[in-house]
Amino acid sequence: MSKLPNATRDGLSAEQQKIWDHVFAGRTGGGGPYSMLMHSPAMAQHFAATEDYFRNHSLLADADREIIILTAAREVEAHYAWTRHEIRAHKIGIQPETIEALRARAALDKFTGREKLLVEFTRTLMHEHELSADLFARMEREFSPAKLVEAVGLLGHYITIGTVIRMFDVKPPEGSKTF
Amino acid sequence: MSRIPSAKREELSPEHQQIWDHIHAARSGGGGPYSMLMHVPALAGYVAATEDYFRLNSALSDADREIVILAAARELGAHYPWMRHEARARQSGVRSEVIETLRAKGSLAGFTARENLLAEIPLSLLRDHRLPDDLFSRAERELSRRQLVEVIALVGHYSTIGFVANAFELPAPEGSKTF
Repeated sequence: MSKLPNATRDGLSAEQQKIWDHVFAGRTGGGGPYSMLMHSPAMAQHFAATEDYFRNHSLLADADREIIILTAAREVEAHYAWTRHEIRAHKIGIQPETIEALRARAALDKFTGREKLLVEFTRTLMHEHELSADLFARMEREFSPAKLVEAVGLLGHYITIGTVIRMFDVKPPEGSKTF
Repeated sequence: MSRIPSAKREELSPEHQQIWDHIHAARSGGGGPYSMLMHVPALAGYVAATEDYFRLNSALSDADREIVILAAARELGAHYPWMRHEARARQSGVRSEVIETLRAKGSLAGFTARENLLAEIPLSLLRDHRLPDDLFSRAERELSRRQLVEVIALVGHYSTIGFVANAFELPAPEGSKTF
């Protein structure tokens, strides 16, 4: 049981029910962070729209996106987001060893190449709230300005989602293995 | 000088120029986080829509919101958002003592119970991504469900904004006093 009851469709106005249907149409399993965010439907729709942008139109490669999301979910200890994105990460071909290293919150030297850079970027911005000149330069060599902006924006979005999950204690589906 | 150049309106498609105009109509000065986000106009549009929701339709009062934002901006060390929201906080009637205490990262002992709650929530979320039980109980007593969810999401939104300001080293306008 999460710390607040899930929002329910029944109590909503017709307009809010439309938002509900739109938000949950793209999200399996019900529950999840939107079961909390939907206590404010007009607000929730904007976070869902941002997330849909990343899913459907992002300039970042799927694998780059999932590395950032899994790293962030692990740092925030957002179990629900981890389970969803672990499934996606497997689907798009991220190596199981990488996923296990993320799960174990392994040191950076357990990662290589672009994955290592993205894990370092995510952890550093989360914990230090800034990037050193060296780290920024390495990111800039790998990513265009637009992709850099997306990487930062994606991390910000998943901090929001992860924090909602963590602080309201939104449960992952029963039986799921997280960390 | 920020780490990457600001996006330029004249380089955008007509559709993206519309997003630009919409975003800048409600924001003075230019040069803020949206000058970076506009490297990805569609994403900038969604992020701005989220922010507009908080400004125009939120269940939180202006003063409540500005305390949350200032505490978040200070904790993140984000100068540009601090500067903009210090001005907004004053306009919204946030007490000078509150602003100066947040600026100095001082003790919250002189705050009213509500000011204290609204400052403690972002500080706790940005450090631990959760609220200790007593703070959660205070939040639940003091805020409606919708307000509670909105406060959490507002901190998330300003994490995105603060990360953009810091990752790209956005300077606050010359001569502005931040912290």
